[in-house]
Amino acid sequence: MKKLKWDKKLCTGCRVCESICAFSHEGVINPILSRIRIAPLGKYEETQKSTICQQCKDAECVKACPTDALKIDIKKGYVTFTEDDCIGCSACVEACPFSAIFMHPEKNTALKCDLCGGFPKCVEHCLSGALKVIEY
Amino acid sequence: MTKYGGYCGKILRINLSSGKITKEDLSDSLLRKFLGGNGLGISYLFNEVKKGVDPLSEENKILIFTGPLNGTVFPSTSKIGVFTKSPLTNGFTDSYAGGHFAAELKFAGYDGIIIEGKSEKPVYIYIHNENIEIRDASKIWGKINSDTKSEILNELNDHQVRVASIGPSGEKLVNYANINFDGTHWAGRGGNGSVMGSKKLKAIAVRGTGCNINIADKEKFEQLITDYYKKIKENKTLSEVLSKYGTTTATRANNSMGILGTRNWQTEVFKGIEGISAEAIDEKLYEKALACFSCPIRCMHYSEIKEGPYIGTRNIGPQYETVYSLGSLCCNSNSNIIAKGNEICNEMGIDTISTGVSIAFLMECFEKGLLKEEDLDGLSLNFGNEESFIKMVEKISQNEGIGKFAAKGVKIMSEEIGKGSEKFAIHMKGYELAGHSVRGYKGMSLGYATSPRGGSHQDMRHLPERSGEFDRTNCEGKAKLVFDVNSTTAIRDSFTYCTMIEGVVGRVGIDSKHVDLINAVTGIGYTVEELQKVSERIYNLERCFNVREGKDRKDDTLPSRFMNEPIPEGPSKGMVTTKKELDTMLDEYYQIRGWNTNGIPTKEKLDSLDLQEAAKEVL
Repeated sequence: MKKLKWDKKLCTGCRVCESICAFSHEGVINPILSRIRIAPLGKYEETQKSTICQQCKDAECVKACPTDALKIDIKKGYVTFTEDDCIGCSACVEACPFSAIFMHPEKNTALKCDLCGGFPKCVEHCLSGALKVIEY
Repeated sequence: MTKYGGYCGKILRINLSSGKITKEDLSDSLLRKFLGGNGLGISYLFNEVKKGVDPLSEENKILIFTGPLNGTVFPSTSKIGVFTKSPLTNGFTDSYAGGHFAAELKFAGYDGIIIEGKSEKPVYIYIHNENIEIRDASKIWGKINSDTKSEILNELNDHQVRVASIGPSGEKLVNYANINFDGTHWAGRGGNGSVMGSKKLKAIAVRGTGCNINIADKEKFEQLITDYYKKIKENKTLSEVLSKYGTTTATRANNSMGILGTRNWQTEVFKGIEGISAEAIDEKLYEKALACFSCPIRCMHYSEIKEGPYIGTRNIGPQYETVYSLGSLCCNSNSNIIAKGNEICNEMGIDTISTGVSIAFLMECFEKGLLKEEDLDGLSLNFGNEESFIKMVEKISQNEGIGKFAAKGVKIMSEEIGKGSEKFAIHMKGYELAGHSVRGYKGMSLGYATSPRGGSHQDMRHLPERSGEFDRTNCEGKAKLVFDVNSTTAIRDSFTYCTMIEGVVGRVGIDSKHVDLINAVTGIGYTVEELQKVSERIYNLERCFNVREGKDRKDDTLPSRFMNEPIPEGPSKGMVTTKKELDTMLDEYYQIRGWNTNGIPTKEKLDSLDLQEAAKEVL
């Protein structure tokens, strides 16, 4: 399987990952539409907290999903999401142990990291090298 | 509302006297005419803060504006502008801060905020999407900036709120107090923090999730992002040097050229350079590189003092300007002392540049015997006296003792002391000089003399001359150079983007790169000529604001030191900008600008820029 790996020591808190995720998936910029979330910590924001989909092999979100919108795709190496099949029940949001799946505030469908089909935009634009794709 | 991309199309107007909060639409015609950021800032300030207003009175206003690029994913577009009438200069001042506040305000749905009136009691403003509140700030009044932010985040129970605040120095009305953003950035210069303090406004807190930023031409925008990321990756300074050293490599670079401000600019070569070099600061202080919203350059640093009397002091920076003003200018060769001074300034909320220049001025007064220990609260204020230096920074930040005098700035101090001290009061229009030489660059000499805010290195830029692209020893062609650089800096501060990518977008004159970028985001469809007009409109209106306050050619001048005392040593020995040279450059500059020989914009010029109303008021 594949997933995003985030290095806390290299992350600068710039949140380009959030912006490019929102823009490439939704065509507009608003961090609330991003599938990856970075929040500042510390008195001088010297450290960050990340919320990233772990593309779990035995994903709880997949088990919770009543419609098969979420599926573990062994061939692709990650948990896929089909928006057309999503009924907006948000059971996945409740089920995820990392709180890494969100609901689109207008469309009421899940915001789920799809690794941009294998070449994540966030990794491409992370010049500090904090984000990488790894096999696990 | 607006049809243009990038903007929210709305601003907030908050009156602290009446408590009234209104949401105002921004028309397409206003946006096309003034663009954003700097443009909107001067447009509203000129119309609403009239001649003769006392900067610390109810009639002054604080304007905070973003531009259409803020909150998009274009690299290095984090800067928010603060515009007001300066208590330091009694003229126009603008100052820009990085961080995440600009983006958060856009995601909340507002392009800007106008703050007017005055509150009876300390308050802070909380903006959460559609919901705006004026809240009691009595519990946080008196707190330093980072504590102010922590308290507000706890009170609102939301650690993703962004906070702009003043420290105790703004509350105490130090002439060069500033506004902190996110605890990590500062709209550093011009005394905007005191204007906020005079209104008893402690902070503005923003949380924004409700507004999506739209892009007019998504395909073109995506292509531009790819192009600029490529350019940034290929540029060693942008991709590596800045993230390791911040801007501190400028210290040694300037010293090597013999143009590093030292000993109150008595000389421009510093013997203690090793202690304050980029390598020293990286080794002794910098812990981690951090970044503003949407910026891959990551030039800011979290730092910690690891030895000596101030061990354990944590803060952001110092960056180059602070290394100059608190370092070589005061003959401090210990970077830990600079870091401690930096921390006091940052937490209390005062401009490190004006603080350092003010202390250096007093050091020279002490050196020359114009002031004695008993005049200085018992301090032996020698150049390089680290203990006295730190005590001075503390006193200024508290606006007490001799600090109360220093807090007025070098112009007022030298006027009150007299005895020839005016000759080494290092300011233009009352605004203390930044860390780039006057004598060392003919172009900067003209740029500093004519900058609307004063001794600022951000209206004219030093880089075209420092790089060698233009000959810094020669006055010829400098009027045109200053005009061209002014044009791009006005655009930079209106889009807005950061000085760090100025070179990549284009620093000398507006061209198709600027136009392509703004059109891709907004869809306005500017030509180069129209964008050039926008930048001239902005600059001329800033000039009109100052003219209305009685400023003209006589104020476009330089400190006596730089016109009469050549650089005494080093690689730039002998350089000086004489009054004759300045006058020649001024004549040429005014002509290019379309101003009369007294530096006043002509009616023809203002009419051509659609500033007829300003012409009627000012001419």
